[in-house]
Amino acid sequence: MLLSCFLAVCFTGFAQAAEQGKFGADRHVAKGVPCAACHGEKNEISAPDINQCTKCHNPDELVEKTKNVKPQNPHTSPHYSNQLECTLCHVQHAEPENYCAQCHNFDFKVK
Amino acid sequence: MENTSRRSFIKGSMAGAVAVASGSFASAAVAQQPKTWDETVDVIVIGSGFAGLAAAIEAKKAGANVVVLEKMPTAGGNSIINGGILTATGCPQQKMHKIQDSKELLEKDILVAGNYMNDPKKVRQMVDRVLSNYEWTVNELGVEYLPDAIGQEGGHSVPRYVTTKIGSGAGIVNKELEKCKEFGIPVRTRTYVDRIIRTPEGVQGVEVFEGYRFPKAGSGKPKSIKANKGVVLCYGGFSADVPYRTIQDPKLNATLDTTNQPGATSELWRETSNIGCMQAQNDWIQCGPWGNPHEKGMGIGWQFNQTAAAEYGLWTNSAGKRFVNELANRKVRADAIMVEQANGRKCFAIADANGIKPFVAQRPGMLDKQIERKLVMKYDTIDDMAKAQGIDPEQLKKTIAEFNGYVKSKNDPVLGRYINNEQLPVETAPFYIGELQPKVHHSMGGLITDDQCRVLDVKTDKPIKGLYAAGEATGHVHGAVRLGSVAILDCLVFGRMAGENCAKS
Repeated sequence: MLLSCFLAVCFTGFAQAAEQGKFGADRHVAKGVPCAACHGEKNEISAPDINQCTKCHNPDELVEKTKNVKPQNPHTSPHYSNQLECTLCHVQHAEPENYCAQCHNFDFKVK
Repeated sequence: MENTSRRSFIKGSMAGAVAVASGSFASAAVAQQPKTWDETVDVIVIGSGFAGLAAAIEAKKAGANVVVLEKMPTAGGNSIINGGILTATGCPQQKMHKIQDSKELLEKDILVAGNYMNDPKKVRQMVDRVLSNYEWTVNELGVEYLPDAIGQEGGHSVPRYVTTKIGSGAGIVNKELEKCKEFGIPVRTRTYVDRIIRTPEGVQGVEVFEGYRFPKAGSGKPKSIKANKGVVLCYGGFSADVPYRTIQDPKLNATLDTTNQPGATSELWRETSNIGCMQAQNDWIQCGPWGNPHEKGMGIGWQFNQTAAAEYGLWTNSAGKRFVNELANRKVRADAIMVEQANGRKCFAIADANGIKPFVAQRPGMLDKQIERKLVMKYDTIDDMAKAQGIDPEQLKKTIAEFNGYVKSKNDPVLGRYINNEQLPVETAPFYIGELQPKVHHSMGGLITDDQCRVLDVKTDKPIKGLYAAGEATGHVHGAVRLGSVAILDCLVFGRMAGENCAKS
C-alpha cells in the first residue's frame, strides 16, 4: 500500500515534469543526455549523488565559473567546500531549491 | 487527628523514598521490539556532529562494527556550521601570548558561569582532558588551527580558545568524516530515527526511515537496526524547534531567530523522555548575544561583534552607554541586550582601527565581506557613526573616553571587564560598528549520564543497559550557562568516551 502510494507520487511527478519540460532532467534530456547517464544502465541508481554528477561536471570549474556571484560563491563554502550534494539545489525532477537559504539570506537563482 | 494523618503521610513518603533508592521499583517504559531485525551491527551512533563522529571513531578503534545515522541530507549537524573555536588550556598559542592559565581556573570559570548547576564530576572529567583533546584533534585528526591566535569568549578569565584555519567547526567535522571514511564507518544521511527500542533488558536497537526527506514526517522507508553493544545518542540540541523550546522557555518564541541549522529539532528529546531516560535542566537554553539582526542565522556578523568589539572594543546602547561587561557570559549579555531592546534601545558593538587588527589577522577578508553585506559599517569619526546609527553622539564620546581610561589603568571599575594585554585605547579612525541581536543558540540541559556516559533511567537513577550519550543532547556539563568555545571540548571528550565505552561493553 505504502509502496504503491510512493510509486504513484513518483509517476505523477515524472508526468508533470515531462509535460512542463522545465526541470533539470528535461534540460539534460533536451541536450541528449540519456536517463542512464544519471540512473545507470539498468536504472539501478534511484537517487544519484555527487559521484554521478561529477562524471560530467567538474566541481573546480563550477567554483571558478561562479566566483563573482554575490554575496557568496554558491559552489563552495566553509562547511562543505565544493562537495555539497548537487541535487540539494539542482533538484532534477521538481523545482530547484536554494539550499543555502535555510540558514543564509543568499538570494541565489538556482536552475 | 490532623497530626496523626500528617505523620502517617510522612512515614509513607519516606518508605517510598527508601524503595526508590534500593531499586525495588521497576524501571521506566518498555517497548515492543520488532519480530525480526532488518540489520544488525555492534554500535549505532545517532547524529553526525562533533560528538557522534568522535564516538564512531573510538567505537571502531575498540573493534566494534559501527554505523552513524543522520536525518539531514548532509553530515555534520550543527557542528559543521559551528564557529570553530575550541577551549585549549595549555596549548602552544597560549604560551606564545604568555597567558597564565590552568585546568583549575578553567574548571572554576565553567562552574561559576554554570551557577554551580553543573555536575562537578563531569566538569572535572572534561577539563582533565582539555590539552589531550586539543592534541588529539591535531595529531590524530589532522585539524589545522591558526598557529598564533588565542581568543577569549565571555565568562573566561583569560584568552584560551584556538580557531580552526577555515573559521568553522567544519575544520574539525570534515577531518572526523575523513577518518570515518578511512575506517570504513558508514555515515548514513537521510536516516530518521523514529523509535529507540527499549525492553526490560535494555536498549536493543532503533527503528528508522531511510531516504527521509527533512522535514517531511513519515517520509522514507521503514527499517529496523539491532545494536549488539548499544546505541550512542549524539542527537544535539533543539534550538531550531520553536514549539519545544517555547514549552521549555516561553520567551524563546518564534520572534527569535536561531543560530542553528533547521535540523536542530526535538523529536529525540521527546523519544528519550518517552522511553524513560532521565533529563534535567532542559529550560536552560542559551542565546548567542553576538548575533547580527541584519542576516539570517549564525551568519558572519557575530565574528566582528565578538572577536573585534567584545574582545578589543566596547558594546553600547543607542543612548551611547555601555550596558554590560562585554566579556560576561553569554546569558548575562543576551539578557542585558533583551532588556535594552524591551526599553526601546538598540545595542551595538564598536571597535576602532586598532581593535579590529587581531580579528583581521585571524580572518583575512572577513571584515570586507561583513562591510559588503552591510553587517558592519565603517565611519571616519565617532560623530558620523553615532549620527548614522541613531546613537547619542555626546554620550558615546564620553563613554569611549571613560573606557579608554579603564584601558590605560587596566581596570574597569564599573562593569569589571577583563582588559586584554594587547588592548589599546579606542581612538583611531576608522571606526567600525555592528548591531547586536541575541539568537537561540544552545541547549544546556538534556540526558543525564554517569561517569561512563551511560544514560540513567528516570525511575531508578541506574544506567540503562546499552544506552550512551554525549554532546549537546546531554545535560549537567555546563549547568546554567555554557561558556563559548567549550561546546567542542564537551562534544569531543564525551563523544570519544561514550563510543569507546559502548564498544567495550
